[in-house]
Parts: sequence; C-alpha cells; structure tokens
Amino acid sequence: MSWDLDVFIEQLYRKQLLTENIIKELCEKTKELLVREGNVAQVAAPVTLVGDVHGQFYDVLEIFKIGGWAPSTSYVFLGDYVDRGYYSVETITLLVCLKLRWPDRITLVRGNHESRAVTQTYGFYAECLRKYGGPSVWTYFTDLFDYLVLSVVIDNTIFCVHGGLSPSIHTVDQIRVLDRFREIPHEGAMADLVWSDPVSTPTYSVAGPLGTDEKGDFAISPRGAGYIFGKEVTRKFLEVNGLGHICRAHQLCMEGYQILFDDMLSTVWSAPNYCYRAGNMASVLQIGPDLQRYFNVFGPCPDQDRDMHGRDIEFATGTDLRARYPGPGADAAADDPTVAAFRKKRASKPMVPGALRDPFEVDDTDFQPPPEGNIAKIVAQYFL
Amino acid sequence: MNREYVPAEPASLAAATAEEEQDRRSKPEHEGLGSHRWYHVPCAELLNAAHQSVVVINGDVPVESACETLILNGISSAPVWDKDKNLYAGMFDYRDVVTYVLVGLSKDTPIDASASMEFKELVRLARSHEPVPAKLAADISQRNPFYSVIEQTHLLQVAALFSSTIHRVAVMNDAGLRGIISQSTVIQYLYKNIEKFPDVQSVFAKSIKELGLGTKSVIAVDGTTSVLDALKLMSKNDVSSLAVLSVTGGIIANLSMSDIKWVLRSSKFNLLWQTCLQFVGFIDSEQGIMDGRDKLPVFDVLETSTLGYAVGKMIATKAHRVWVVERAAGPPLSVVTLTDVFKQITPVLDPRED
Repeated sequence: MSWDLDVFIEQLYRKQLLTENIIKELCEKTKELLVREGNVAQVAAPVTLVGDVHGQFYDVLEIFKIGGWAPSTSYVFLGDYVDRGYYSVETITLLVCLKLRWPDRITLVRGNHESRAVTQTYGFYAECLRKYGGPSVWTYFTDLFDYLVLSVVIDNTIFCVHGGLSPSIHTVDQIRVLDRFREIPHEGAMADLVWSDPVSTPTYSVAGPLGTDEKGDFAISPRGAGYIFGKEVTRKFLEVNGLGHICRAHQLCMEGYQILFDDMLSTVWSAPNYCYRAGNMASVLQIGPDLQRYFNVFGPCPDQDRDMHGRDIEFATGTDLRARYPGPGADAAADDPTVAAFRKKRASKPMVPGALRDPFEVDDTDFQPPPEGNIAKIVAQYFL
Repeated sequence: MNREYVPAEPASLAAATAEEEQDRRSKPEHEGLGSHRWYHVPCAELLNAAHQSVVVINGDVPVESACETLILNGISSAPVWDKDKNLYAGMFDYRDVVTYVLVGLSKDTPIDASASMEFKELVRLARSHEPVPAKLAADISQRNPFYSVIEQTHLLQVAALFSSTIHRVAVMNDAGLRGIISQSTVIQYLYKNIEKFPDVQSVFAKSIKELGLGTKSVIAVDGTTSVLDALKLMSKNDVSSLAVLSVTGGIIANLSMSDIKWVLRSSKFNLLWQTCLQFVGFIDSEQGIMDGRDKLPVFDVLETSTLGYAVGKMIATKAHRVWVVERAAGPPLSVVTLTDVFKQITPVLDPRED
C-alpha cells in the first residue's frame, strides 16, 4: 500500500485497522515530529480541549461531529487515549494520523495511561494482542508515548495538563527542562503532572517533619502516584506563572466537567457512559478567540448511529447537531422536556471553521426550566 | 480457639527518666505524661480517634455469608461469636476464605493426620458440599487468632504482637467488645500525630536501605500463572501477597489474599482459572470505575525512599505493603509491610524502665 495519510484517515474514520507495518512507520514518523516539540506546547485560541477518551472510538467521532472535523477545528487532547474502551487501537491510530497530517492543528498531551505499566493491566496490551496476534503494535505505540508532550499553554493564559500540579514544579520553565523521553516514573515531577488530582480538602499532609521539602498543601495520592492538591497551591502556581486558569482531565465527572477553586481549575472528561456502564455525560471545552470558555456537554453515540460514516455530515448544510445522551433510546430521551429541550442545539447559520457556537442562538422558546435550577450547571459560559 | 491476652500491668504513667521530664516540660501541649512515647497511649484513645463501628460475625453463618459481611463493611477481618460456647471463637479474615476455597477445590489431596479436629471437620463439610460455619473456618489458617486487651492497656503491650505475626487485637470493656485495633489503626494515628512522637519521626526519616529493609526474599509469579496456583503458593509460603512479574522479570502488579473477595462477591469462580494478569486487570478496572479514578497497578518505593514516605503511601493507598524496587517497574528487591514498620519503631523493651 502506498503511503497516503488521507487514505489512512478515511479508513480509520470507518474503524478499519491499519496493518502492523504501517503503524510502525506512522509511529516512527510521529516520533520524529514530536522530538522537536518542547515539553510545554504553545497553542493559540480558538481551540477545543478534549479530556480522557479511553478507546471509546464512536464517542471520539461524536466529539468531531460536535466540535468540528480536523483540520477545521484546532484540538488539544489531554491524554488517556487507550485502555478500558473496546477500540483503543483504532482511537490512538486515528489520533496519530491526524497529528501527522495536521501537526499544527492537533496537540497530543501524555496521560497516565500512556505508559507500559498501566496499559499492561488496563486493557490496551490485551487489545493489541487480540487484534494483531502479538505485542509489536503495543511496543510501537508505547515507545511513541514516551515522546508525547507533557503540557500546553494556550495564549499564555490557560495551562493544560493531564493530571495536575507537582510539589517539585513551581514554574512552567521547570517543566520545560524535564527529560520526558522515557517511561513515566512512579515518583517525581513527571509522574505528578500526569497523576495528581485537585481536592478541596487534602487529608494526609506530607508536611515538614517527615521530609526535607515543605510541601504544604500537597498530600500523597490514594492512586499510588502523584499528589492531591488544594486551592492555595493552585492560586500560587497561577500567580507565579502569570496564568489565568488550569484545565485538566484524569478524573471521571458525571456531568462531563467540573469547575473548582473559584474557577481557577476545571476538569474536562470526554468519555460518555464510561466503560459503557457509568452513565455519565461527557464534554469538550471549546475556547473562543477571546478565550471565552464553553463546556459543550454530550452523551454517548447511540447504537443506531455507530456504523454511519460521520464525515458525511457537513456543517455547511446546517445539519442537525443534536447532542446525544444515554437512555433506552435517543428518541425517548429527546421527549423528556427538562433535559432534551435544553440540550437541543441547532446551528442556525453555517459554521465558520474554528468559530465558537453561540449558545444564545439556541431555540429555547418552548423550554421550561426545571424547578431546581440545575440547568446553570450544564451550560457554563465564561469570559476571562 | 480463644487465646486471651492478659496484660501483666499497665505501664507506669509517671515519667521514668529525667529526660522524659524535660521533654514533657518543653512540650506543654501534650495531654499527659503518658503520651510522650507512642506506646504509652492507652488503647481507648485510639478507638476514640478511629470512629469505627464494631462488626461481629455470627459463628453459625456459612463462610460465604461471613465473607459478604467483610466485603459490605470494607474490612479484612472480624471477630466471630460462638453463641453455643458464649465466647469469641476467633477472627475471620480473607486468608481463612482462601483456605476454605482451596480445601473445597482439592477433592483428592490427602489430609495430614496431625491436622486439628476443626480442620478435618471443615474438610469433610467442604468436600461434601455442605455449608461450613464461620466459627469452624475462623482461625483455620492459624495466622490471625483472637487476642484481646482492655481499654486501659497501653499500646506497649500490643507493640510486641504487631511486630510479629499478629495484626489486630480486640479491645474489651465491661460491656464486652469495644473495638478492634489493627496495625493500620495505630500507624494512621501515629502518622496524623507525628509531631508528638519525635522518636518515630527520626526512624521515619531514614531510608529503607539504611534500615536494612531493602532486601528480602519475595514470593513472585509471572503473569501467566493461574489465580488458583498463585493462591496455593501464598498459602504454602504463608504470605499474604505476592508480586506478579512481566516477561522481563519486572513487577507489574500485586496479588493479595484479600483479592479473593472479587471471586466471592458475585460468585465469579471462573476467575480462579484465569491468569494473574487477567485477574488483576479485572480488579483494577472495577476498582477504577468505583472510585472514578484509576490507580497505579503496583505500589512501589525505591530503596532510597524514606520509611516515612513508604508509610505515607501505605496509608494513602490503604495497602498493607509496598514493594521495593531499584527503578520503576524493575524486579522486586524487597517488600515493606506494616509488621516491618512496627519492628522498626517498637523499642527493645528494657525491663528496668517498667
């Protein structure tokens, strides 16, 4: 087969696996590309941030349907492409091809699952064995994972990372000088960036008497790597580095996203109905040209749409961009006035590539808000 | 089998040495002379801090039901009450469950003639598929007997026990069973109040290598071993967990006796014949969805890490051991357990101090 990235991408959109040799070549070429990228990638708005997808291939296509197909929308993926879902191989192969084809429109950040240790127990290794009969493909991808960047800064304002902060990292420059081209260690700055979580109240502090570092607000994480950190540490990091917000993934959010610490930090989660049973919503964070932030919430791809070629839906024709959500069937959920009506979004005019969809264009004339007023949580419109 | 542990006399409350008196004066926030050393803390104080509800297993219920009780309450061990004899027959834990499962599946293995009456009875019932009462299975592994102390007993008495094979004691008062103190309860108490115990702090600041904990023979299996074989190995070698190795000999996961609960929970007995790697994959997956976050497949520390860091990790992850490696995902050099920690922090008892 001749080398044609567009052909590969079309195949992958149809969920067709590429051959082992092509994957080897793809990984080699992508490593050559990534080795030139620093640990902290600089990306310009407008851009859409995507959280954990965990091999849920059909839901990745949903993301493209909602957010825009590459390269018309610029994307930053925050890691955790593999494990748990049934289509980790297809998912990561697609993303790697998109990165190779449009390197300036796709940024891939490393998550804690982009590691040999984790993929051996959480499913990616087993899936590679099943689909390719041997571990070579797993080896190619895990070697490639060593090259993924560790973080992103959007317009010098929004800091993006998979997990969270580290007691060893006070400035973004310190991230720049790390040696990232290795398996994720179990402790240290690199481990912390992909494993840490924010919490409101850390329970076990690793304060002064036990060690030489005054970690203050950090506490050892129950995950076995990384730390849990609080509001003060977040505030300090933002101040010291002249940043406005931290966006990360790594933790399941039932509503698809979560905003913490007076909007200093947010979590975006992009795998709806996680592991096909958690019943959660998912979201992508759409960042506009003036850094407006919009969490676009969506549900899992309904079963009947799974074999539809997503690319046939063109923005220009004003096609139905109705967001989906879990339930016995998409139509049943659509009939529920409290949820369905609010989530129905129809683009009234053709989308300009990369432009933010204006939620006030939503037709909500026949909508009754629920008495508890929880709608405010679902659509979050912020202006920095 | 009810071995009652009766303390000779509570340790003296008065400060025995001038040094202790000086320390007491320099740290006025201590709530009494006794709390300067951690092992002078009375048991009752730990129970107050721990806020636990007491779970007791009725000795007549079948093993499966007793196991369910452990799972529902998120504990690894519970005292078993024998109402016929009106006493606590022992402690029921996951190790007993494993022994029961292995016996039940070993139709042809001959029983040692020197085995106890209880064990022979258990084997008879298990092999004829009759329910085995918890009181028969409790302590069948002979590793977790029922030890009791009174509320006023100082931790000094249990310190020696915790440095050996005993991992928990029952605290009694006039009304009966007040609570259970385990190695974890004590370690968490110490860690939270570490600034009050400078002698523990200085031990925690030393590295694992320095303390001589960096080498130990570890029991390990490779990922393709069946779960059943791994359980048999743990039982035979009298360990509560083993390392699961990759093809290159590095440690990729940990299998514990308590993982048997995943087999019993929804009677997924087919899991016993899966490979260890498949089994831990299943467990980690389920646990990750329940917690909303995934964890590292294996909890390890370096030889150069401090004991305090290892303890912190054990507390945060609720694990009872951490593996010691030379580098991440390298071969396991050693394992640090809570028993090791107690051995390090419990002083060699000087009879003159009492």
